Amino acid sequence: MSDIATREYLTFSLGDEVYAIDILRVREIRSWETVTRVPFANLWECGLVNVRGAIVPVTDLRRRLGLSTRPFDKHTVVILVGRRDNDRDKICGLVVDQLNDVISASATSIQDAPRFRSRIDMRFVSGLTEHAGRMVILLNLDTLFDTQAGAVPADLEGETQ
Amino acid sequence: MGIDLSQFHHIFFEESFENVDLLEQGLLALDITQPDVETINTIFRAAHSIKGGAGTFGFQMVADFTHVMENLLDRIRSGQRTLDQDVVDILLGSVDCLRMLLTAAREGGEPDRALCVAQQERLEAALSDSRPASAEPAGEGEEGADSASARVSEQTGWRIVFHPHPELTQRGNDPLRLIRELKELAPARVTCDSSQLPSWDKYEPTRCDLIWTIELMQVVPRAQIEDIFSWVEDECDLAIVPMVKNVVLEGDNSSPSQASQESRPIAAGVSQIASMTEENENHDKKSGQVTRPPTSLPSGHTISQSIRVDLPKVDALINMVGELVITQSMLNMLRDEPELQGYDRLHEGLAQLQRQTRALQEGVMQIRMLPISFCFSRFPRMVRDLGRQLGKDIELVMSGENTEVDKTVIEKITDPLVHLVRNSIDHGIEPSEAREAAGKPRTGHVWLRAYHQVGNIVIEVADDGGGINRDRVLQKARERGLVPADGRLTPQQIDELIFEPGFSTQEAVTDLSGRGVGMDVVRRNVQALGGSISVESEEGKGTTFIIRLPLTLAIMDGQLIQVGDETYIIPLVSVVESLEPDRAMIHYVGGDTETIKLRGEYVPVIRLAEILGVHQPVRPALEDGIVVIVETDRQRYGIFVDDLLNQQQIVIKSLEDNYRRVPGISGATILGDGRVALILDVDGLMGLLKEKEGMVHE
Repeated sequence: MSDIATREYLTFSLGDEVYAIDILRVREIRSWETVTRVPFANLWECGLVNVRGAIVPVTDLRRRLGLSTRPFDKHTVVILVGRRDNDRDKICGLVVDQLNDVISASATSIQDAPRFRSRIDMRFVSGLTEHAGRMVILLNLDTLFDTQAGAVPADLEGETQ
Repeated sequence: MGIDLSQFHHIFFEESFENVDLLEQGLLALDITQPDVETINTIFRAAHSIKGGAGTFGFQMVADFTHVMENLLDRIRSGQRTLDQDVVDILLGSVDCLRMLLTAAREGGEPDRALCVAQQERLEAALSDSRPASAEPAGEGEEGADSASARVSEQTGWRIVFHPHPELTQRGNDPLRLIRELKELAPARVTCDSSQLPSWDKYEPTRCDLIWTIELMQVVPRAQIEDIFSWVEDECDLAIVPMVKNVVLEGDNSSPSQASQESRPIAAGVSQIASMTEENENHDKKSGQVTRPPTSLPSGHTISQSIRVDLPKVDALINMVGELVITQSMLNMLRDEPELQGYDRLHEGLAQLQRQTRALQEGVMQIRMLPISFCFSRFPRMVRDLGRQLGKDIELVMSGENTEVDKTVIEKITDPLVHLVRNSIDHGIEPSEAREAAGKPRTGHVWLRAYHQVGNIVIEVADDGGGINRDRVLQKARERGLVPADGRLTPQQIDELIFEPGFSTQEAVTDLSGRGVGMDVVRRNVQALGGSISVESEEGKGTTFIIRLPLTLAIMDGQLIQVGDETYIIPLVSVVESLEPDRAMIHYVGGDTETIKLRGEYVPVIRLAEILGVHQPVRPALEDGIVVIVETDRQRYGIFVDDLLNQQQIVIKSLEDNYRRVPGISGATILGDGRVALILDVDGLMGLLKEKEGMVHE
C-alpha cells in the first residue's frame, strides 16, 4: 500500500468513545468560551463565537450525535472545521470533551460503517478504524452540519434535555 | 516619443464609455421642440472627447465614426440643422454603434463593420440633408469656416461676458474704460453681476469682484473686440459669443461658464487656443485664460479632482475601520472601570477617539457612496425603446437621482429595477386606446423615485396603469395550489402573492417579461441586500413597488438592551423612545395582548424574552422593565426588555457567512468585550409575533 492512500485524522473523545475527523478540514483549535445563544436554533447548536472578527457557530457534538450531555470543563475544546455550503466556504466549531491525538490510517484499514442500529445516527459516520487497540469512529463532517439531515433521534430527545 | 500608450488604454476606454453614457443621456434629455443649448454642447463635447482619445490611441474606426457624428452634432449646435426626432433616432443608433465599436476595440474583437458602415451612411445622409444650398459633407477644417460664414448671416451681435480676475484692478487696469471702448464699436447693453462681492467686513476696495455682460447690438469684426481686451487677456475670463436669432437662450447669462457653453465655434484658427470651460470655473489665478468654445482640444473637460481607486482597496479600508470601531468600543467600556476613575485626560482622550473614529468611519463610507443616477441613467433609453416596441406612449419621471447609496447597492439593485420597470411598461400600463376608453390620459407614466427615509433608502417604481388584477392573481394562485381554494385573503395578501416563485399572470409570454422568473427573483435580490419590497396597487389606478434598503451595509448606531442574561441590539434608527411604563398605561386586548397607551395611542408590546425564547427574564411585569418603542414602515410597537445598556456604533456582520439567516435577527456584531451580540430585525420581529398569534388562533 502506498502512502498516498494514507490520511491523517485528528482524534478526540466523547466519554469513552474515540472519534476522528479528517485533519485537513481542521482550521484551528480553541478552548471553550462562552457563546452567544441564537434564537430558534437547533438543540445541538450552542451559539456563536467571535473568531477574529468572524461570527462562527458552534455545535455541541454530543448533542448532535444524540449522546448524553455533561458540563464543559477545562479539557473541553472547540475544533474549528471548514466546510462547503452552497459553494461558499464556511467555518464551524465542534465542541468535544477532550483532544487526543493525530493518527494515520490507510484506506484499507478503514471499514465501512456497519448498518446496525446504534445510539448515534449512522449517517454521521463515514467509517471505522482502529488505533492503539481501540476503535475509532470516523465522522462525516458534511452530514454533521447539514441541518436537513435528521435531528436528534426522537427517542433520545428527552435524555439530552 | 517613447511612451507606451497602451498603458493608458483602460483609462481611455473607461472615459469613453462614460462619455457614451453622457451622449445617450444628453440625447434622451433633449426636448426636440426646444433644444437646450447646454445639453447639445454636452453631447457635442462627449463625442468630441471620444474622437480625440480614439485618434490619439489609434482606434481609427472609432475616431472616424465619431467624427461623422461630431459633424452632425456640430450642425445641430450651430443651428444649421434643425433637431427632429429622426436625427435623435439616428444619433441614438450611432451611440449603440459606438458602444459596440468601443467594446470591440477594448476586447480586441472584430467590430460589426456592416452595422457601422450602415450607421455611418445614415449619419452622412442626415448631414447632407441639412444643407440645401451646398451639398458635400465637409471635413473638419473647412467645415469650421463654413459654419462661421453661415452663422454671420444670422448673427445679430455679440454677447461678451467679461469676468476680470480680482487682481485686474490692482494692476492698473480699468474695466470701465474697456466697456466704454466697446460701446464706441456698437450700441451696447451692459449688465453687471455683483453677486460675487464679498460681505463688507471682507471687502477689499482694490479687488475687482464684478462680472459684466455686454451685449453688442451690431455685428462687428471679432478681432476688434479682441483688440480691446488684448491688454487684459491674462487677467480675466472672457467669453465672446455671437448672438444668433434662432437659438433659444435661456436663463441667467451672467456667469462666464454658462455663457461659454452657449458659445459656438468661431473659426478654426481661433479655436486652437481654446481652453476648457471647466478649468476656468476654478478661477485659477495663475493661468488667466480666454474662454473659447472647446472645439478642438481632446477631452480635458473631464479633468476633475478625483482619482480612480480599485474597489478592493476601499473595502480593505472599510474593514479596517470596522475593526477600529470594535476596538474603540472596547476602550470605551473601560471608562466605567472603577480603578480608572479620576484619570481625566484618559477620559478626554477616549471621548476624542470616539469622535474621530466616527468621523473616519463616515468619511470612509462616503467613498463607496454613489448617486443612484448611475443606476437610473439607463432607464430613459429603456423606457423609450420599450414604449416604441409595444406601441405605448410612456413618459418616465425620475426624482431623487442624487440620492447617494452604497456602490454594492447600485450594482445589485439595477437588475431588479430593470425588471420592475419592464413589468410596469409591459403589464402595468395599458395600450393607449384602453387608457382613453378608461378616461385616462393617453400617455402612460412610470415614476422612478429615490429618497432617504429613517435610515433607509427607498426606491419606488410606480405606474398609472391598470393595477393588479386581484381576481386573476387569486385564481392563478389557487390553480397553482399556492392558496387553498377556500382561503380568504386580504387585498394586500393577494398583491403579495405575485412575489411567490413561479408566479406570472400574463397568459401570453412576451419578449419583455413574464417568463415566470419574476418577482420572486426581484424579492430575493432585494432581501440579499438586507432590504424589503412591498407593493401597493389600486385597480384601474396603478401599481407602486416600494423597495427599502439599508443605508449602509457595514456600520450603524445601535441601542444595546438586556433580556435575562442576553444582550441584543436594536438599530437606533428604528427606536422612537424608551420608557418605564407605569401600571396605568398598560392595557390588555383580548386578555393576553399587552398594549401601552402612549399619548392617546395604543401601542402593542411584544416581550422579547418570550419571542426569542430567552431563558430567564429578570423582570416579569411590564411596569418593572423598560419598553423600547420602535417604528417600522408598517407600524409602531414596543419591545419589552429588562434593561437598556449603552448606545454605540456597531459593525454589522453577516450571520450567513458561516451560519444561516435567523428569523427576527438581521445580523450580528462583536461587542467591546469580544462577545457576539445579535442585531434585532424590528420588521421581522413583528412578523414573528403575528405568526405566533396566528398559530394560537388556529
